[in-house]
Amino acid sequence: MTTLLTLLLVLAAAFVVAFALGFARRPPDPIRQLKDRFITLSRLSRAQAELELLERVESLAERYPGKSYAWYLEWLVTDLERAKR
Amino acid sequence: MSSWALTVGHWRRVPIRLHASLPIGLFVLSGLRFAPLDWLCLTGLVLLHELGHAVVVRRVGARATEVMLTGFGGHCAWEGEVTPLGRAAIASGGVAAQLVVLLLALATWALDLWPQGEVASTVLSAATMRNGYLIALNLLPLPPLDGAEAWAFPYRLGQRARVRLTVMKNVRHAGGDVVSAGSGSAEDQAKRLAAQLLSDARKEEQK
Repeated sequence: MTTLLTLLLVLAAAFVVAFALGFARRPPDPIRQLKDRFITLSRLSRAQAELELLERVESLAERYPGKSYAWYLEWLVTDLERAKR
Repeated sequence: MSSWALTVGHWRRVPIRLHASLPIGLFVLSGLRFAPLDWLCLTGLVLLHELGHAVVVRRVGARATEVMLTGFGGHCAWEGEVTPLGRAAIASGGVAAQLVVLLLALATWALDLWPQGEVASTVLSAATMRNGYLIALNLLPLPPLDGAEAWAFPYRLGQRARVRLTVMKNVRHAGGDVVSAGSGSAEDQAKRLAAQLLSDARKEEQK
């Protein structure tokens, strides 16, 4: 039974360590990822793409007010992806 | 679906199938001896493990399509789109089910509630020692073992906890007046907060 208790302790310790590692690591910024995806898909220079993005988000916000910034970004990226297919 | 398998039952419409290689695997695992009780216990453990996966598959919104027990262990086939956290949870579901049984068996034994006798002793040994070895083996971080994906579960859980904590902090900070005032429904509050976040993002863009 000592073996089993050791196993359980090792498992619990490994679980805690993995959890702590996940907690400590900075999570990826979804907005940054969506922006980068938009820039890649738009095939424009970064400055041009960011300007284009700003304009499109503003126009979307007028059409669909009250949504989150991520929502608009996701909408635009999905739209571009659909257009590319 | 393998034609070398026999459907022996269903769990919530998921067929439970025994592959033809199962008896050979059980015979080898029991030390090449005729030990029906050992075979039954091992089959039970593998079935429990696979059903653990199937339960989590349902919980994360996917659909289990088959539970198969083979001579090399078993597998739970499923379909559907899940998050990375959901995928990791599915991978750890089998071991989690085994851990529950292990802890229950240990508790029953420690409290002297486990029945006496040869059969009970074999079952106890399977539910504790053999179960423990299977858990340890399954958690090795090597494909195709569960450990290859299961260790991502606590890691992603940690990530999610951090994100939630950050969001809660931001909500309190950015929309403190909105939330603390308690005016309007939760949806209204969320909308106002989203509008505020959008205006912040616009300001950031303009910088």
